[in-house]
Amino acid sequence: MSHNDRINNPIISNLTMSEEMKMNILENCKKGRRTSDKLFRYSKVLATCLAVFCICISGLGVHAAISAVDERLQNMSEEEKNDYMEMNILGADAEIYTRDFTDTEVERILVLQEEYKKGRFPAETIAIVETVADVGDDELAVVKEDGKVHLPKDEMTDEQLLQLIDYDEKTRYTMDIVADEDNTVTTMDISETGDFSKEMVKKYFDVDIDDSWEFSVTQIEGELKDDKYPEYQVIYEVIFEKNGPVDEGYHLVICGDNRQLISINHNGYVTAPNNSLSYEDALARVPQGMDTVVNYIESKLDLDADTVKIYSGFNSFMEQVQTDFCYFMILDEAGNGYRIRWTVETDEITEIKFYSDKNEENINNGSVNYTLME
Amino acid sequence: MSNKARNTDLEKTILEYSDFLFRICFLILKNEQDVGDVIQETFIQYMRKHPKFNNEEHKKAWLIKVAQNKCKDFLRFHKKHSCVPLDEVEELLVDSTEATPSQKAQLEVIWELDYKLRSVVVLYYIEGYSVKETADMLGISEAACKKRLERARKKLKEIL
Repeated sequence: MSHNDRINNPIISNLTMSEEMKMNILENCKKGRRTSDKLFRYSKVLATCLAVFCICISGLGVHAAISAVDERLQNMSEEEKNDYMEMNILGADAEIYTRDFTDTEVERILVLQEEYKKGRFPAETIAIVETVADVGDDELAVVKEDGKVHLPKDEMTDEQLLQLIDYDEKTRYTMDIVADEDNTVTTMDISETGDFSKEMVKKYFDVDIDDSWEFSVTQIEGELKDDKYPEYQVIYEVIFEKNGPVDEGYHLVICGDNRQLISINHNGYVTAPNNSLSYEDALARVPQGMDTVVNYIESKLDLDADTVKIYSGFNSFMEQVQTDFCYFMILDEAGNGYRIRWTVETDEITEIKFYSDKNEENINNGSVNYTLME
Repeated sequence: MSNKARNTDLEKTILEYSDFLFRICFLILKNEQDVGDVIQETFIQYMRKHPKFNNEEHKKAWLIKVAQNKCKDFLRFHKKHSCVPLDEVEELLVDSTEATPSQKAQLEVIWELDYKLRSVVVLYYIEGYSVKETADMLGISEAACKKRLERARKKLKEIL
């Protein structure tokens, strides 16, 4: 049998998912993103947990665990909690165990997790070590270096299985703590985002948003947030649209932690490059953009153009200069940065991004190569 | 990407790939409900990670890899889950043509393989991926993949 001998079995090739299941999955995925349900928020970490134990416990609810377990979790030292939180952050993919569980280990886990709930705890907690080299062949340990649980080569003892169960429950407990902290630091509720955003559109674009605009808001959560805004806990993405997304819209990103605007743009999702101007033509128009930007920052950002440094540059993609927009980076004396996107063809400001960490040394770490304007 | 665009992309991805993932996962898990859970988890991960893909094949391979990992997690702990009897499988088919005894036997043989062999057979012989692609998706070396295929071939030889 070679690779060319494909298995062509109509039973297999005609297997399809029911429409009902597809729709359920779609709806559940959408709910998963919007909800604050920790099972979804930390799905990556949860996927790494002991599955049987996860399902049993989630069925009961974390807070329904018996008091002996609660007491054990609440008595975790700060150092231990930090270790578990660090492991949560390290995450790891679904493959967190260094080998498969044997059938008998699975059977014993089922029994031992019941006993754990009744107060049978391991004599020692699972070892958390820095590097793989710190783990012996017959040892059970969590390794920070690779984010994996290293299982001993031989069948695990009851003590080791209890340590695994204990590790899993403590992981869940610390995730709960993180989630609760997430909730407490929010200073802007999602219900406030509409009015706040209208004010911002008025302030930066002089446009009144009325009921004719379609409003939507999403709380960016989990890994999406972590990738884009690692320093913030709660991020809202607000969109006002008129006559559909291709006509007109404003897009805002707001930090819920401190009620600060991260960015605001006009028709920001129209990203397909047009590049109707040559680079030389676009470059020749930069002084015009400079005038527009100076007027804008003085009237809208309350900045004195004489006391700030202004840089300009064009974005490059795949070694091609994008001439549709020119970017101006403004650095003020207080250490704030403002990136302003100027649309060359129309001589309009179409985006403002706010930074608190920009300086002369790091403004060129993106795809725009800035030059100081005299 | 805006909220609306993300939802549209999610919907498009689910509609485009759910049958394909269903087939692969069903051959591995043999339980429709578990397959639904695995696929939902896969798409939630897709939505949350929002990975950047070079092309559709890259995207497809990523989805398979995630779904495979999740199948493996399920199997670790759900070995005693009930499986769909073969007769009921026919109810899941779009084409109501009754399967022949030899086709049923073929499926039975695939299902009798253990996970490690079944997963390479599904990707290599049913989905037509190369050894390297199959190995990448399963997170194993090419040598291990070839070894598993060799073992699977021996078991499948009589039927196929």
